[in-house]
Amino acid sequence: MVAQLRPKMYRFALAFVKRRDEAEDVIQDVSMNLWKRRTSLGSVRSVEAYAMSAVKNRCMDYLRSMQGKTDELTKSAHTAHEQTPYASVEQADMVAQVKKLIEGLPVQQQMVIRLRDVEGYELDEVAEILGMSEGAVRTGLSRARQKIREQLFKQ
Amino acid sequence: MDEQKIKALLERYFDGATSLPEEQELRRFFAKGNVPATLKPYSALFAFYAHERAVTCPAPTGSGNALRLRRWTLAATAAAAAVALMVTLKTLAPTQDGYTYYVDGKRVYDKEAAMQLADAKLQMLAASMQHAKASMEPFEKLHDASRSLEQLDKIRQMLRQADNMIFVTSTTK
Repeated sequence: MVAQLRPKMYRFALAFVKRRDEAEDVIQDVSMNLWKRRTSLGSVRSVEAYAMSAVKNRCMDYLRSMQGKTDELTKSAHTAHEQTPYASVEQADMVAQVKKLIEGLPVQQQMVIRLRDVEGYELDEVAEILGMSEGAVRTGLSRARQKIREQLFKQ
Repeated sequence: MDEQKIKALLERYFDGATSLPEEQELRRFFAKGNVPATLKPYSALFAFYAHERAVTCPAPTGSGNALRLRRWTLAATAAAAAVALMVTLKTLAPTQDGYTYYVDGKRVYDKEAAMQLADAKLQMLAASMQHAKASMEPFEKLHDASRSLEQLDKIRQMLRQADNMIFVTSTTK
C-alpha cells in the first residue's frame, strides 16, 4: 500500500520542500511511522488520506522551518524543476511560467491544486487530507484556478 | 470534441465544478495538440499538470537511506582513524628506552613528544566525533535513532580503548 503511494507522496512533498533528498526523507519518515502504527491503522477511514495528510504535515513543518531562508528555497527550486525532459524549449518555458504562478499562490491553495489537478483526488479526499471541509476545498480550488487563469491571460 | 463544449467545460473547471472524468476530458483535449488560438493560454496549464504527473519517484534504498550513509561517513572516518592510531601505537619497535614510537604513521624518537602528539591526535578525533554527533542530532527525531546512537557509543568505546593504549605504552618502559 505504502509502496503504491510513494510516487504520489514524493511528488507532493517535492512540490513544497523543493529538494529531492528532503522529499525522500519526508516519505521515508512517513512510511516508517505508518509501519510502526500499522496495527492501529484499521480504525483509519482511508489509509491513503492518512498517509498524504502526514506528508502534508511534514511539508508544513519544513516550510515553517525554512521561513526566512528564501535564498535556499529559491536555489533548490531549480533542482525540483529538472525532473523530466521537455518536448521543446517553448513547452519548458510555458511549464516554468505556470509553475511560478502556482508557487505564488497561498500554500493551502497550492496544496488543493496539487492534490486535485496533479494527483486526481476527489474533493472529499482532498478535504480529508488537508483537514478542511469539502466546501472550503471547492472554494479554495476555484479561487486558485481563477487566479491562475487571470495570470495566464495577463502574460 | 468541439471548441464550444471545451469552453463550457473550462468555465465549469475554473469554478471548481467539474468532475474528475470531465477534467480528464480536458487533459486529453489539450494533450492532443492543435489547440485553437483562443484556448492556447490554457494549454500551458494542462502541460504543467502533465509534466508534474510525470515526475518519478526514486526507488527506495535498501537497508538504510542515502542521508544516513552521508551522515555516518564522518563518524566512520573518525572510527577508522581511531583504529589506525591504535594499530600504529601497537607496532612499537625497541630503541634506547626499549621502544620506537609511531603516532599516526609517523616515527617519533622522543617518548614525551610521542605522548603529546598522540594526545593531540586523540583530541582531533574527539572533535571529529563531536561534529559527527552534531550531524546525527536530526536522527534523534526518528524512531530508529536508538540504533544509530548505539553505534556512536561503540565508536566512543573505541576511542577510550585508544586512549588506554597510549596510557599503557607510556608506562611500558
